[in-house]
Amino acid sequence: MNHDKPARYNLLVKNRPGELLKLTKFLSDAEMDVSALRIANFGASASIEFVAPRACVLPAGFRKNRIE
Amino acid sequence: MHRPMITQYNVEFPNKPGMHAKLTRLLISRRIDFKSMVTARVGDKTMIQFLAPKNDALRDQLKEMGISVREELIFQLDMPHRHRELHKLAKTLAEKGINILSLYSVVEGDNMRIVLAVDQPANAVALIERLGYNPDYAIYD
Repeated sequence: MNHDKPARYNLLVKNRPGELLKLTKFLSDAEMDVSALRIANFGASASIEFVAPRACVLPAGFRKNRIE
Repeated sequence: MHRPMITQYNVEFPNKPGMHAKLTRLLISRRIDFKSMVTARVGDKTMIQFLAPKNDALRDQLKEMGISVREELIFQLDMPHRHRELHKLAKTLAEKGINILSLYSVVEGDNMRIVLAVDQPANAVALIERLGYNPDYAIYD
């Protein structure tokens, strides 16, 4: 698997302060830059869509960081 | 030449056949240069968020069509395209209980341009200035 190949992720989170922080902390700790980031809120929920490298590493990290 | 500032529209209407088509027909017929459209279905409602030049006539017409409209103040900033910078921004806003309502980004060379809507824009802009960035409410096409 090519770990450098970018992948697009779409997370559904609660629409409240601090949700993006969980993601940016993970990405910053892993020294990953996002090449695109988009947040939209819809009532009680918000979607965070982003493109990041080394995509295969990310899902485990999200679970670890409890990003819903 | 006067150019209208960009605003964020949040529109909401019942999940009924034809409503989405009515909205897009209106935007096209009025030659609205909309961008970054995101659509979501929440329960029995459809919610659409997009950026477009501020247009009071558009807002009034949407309301006449039975479409709920909310406009949100947006501002932009440029920051170095590094993960630490994005984290610093997210951390600063979260620590003050500021909720990000929407965020758009584009990478331009070594910088990332971010357009933000938050629930406390004045507080957010002041905090971001203290981080050393130059947030700006004036966003044009």
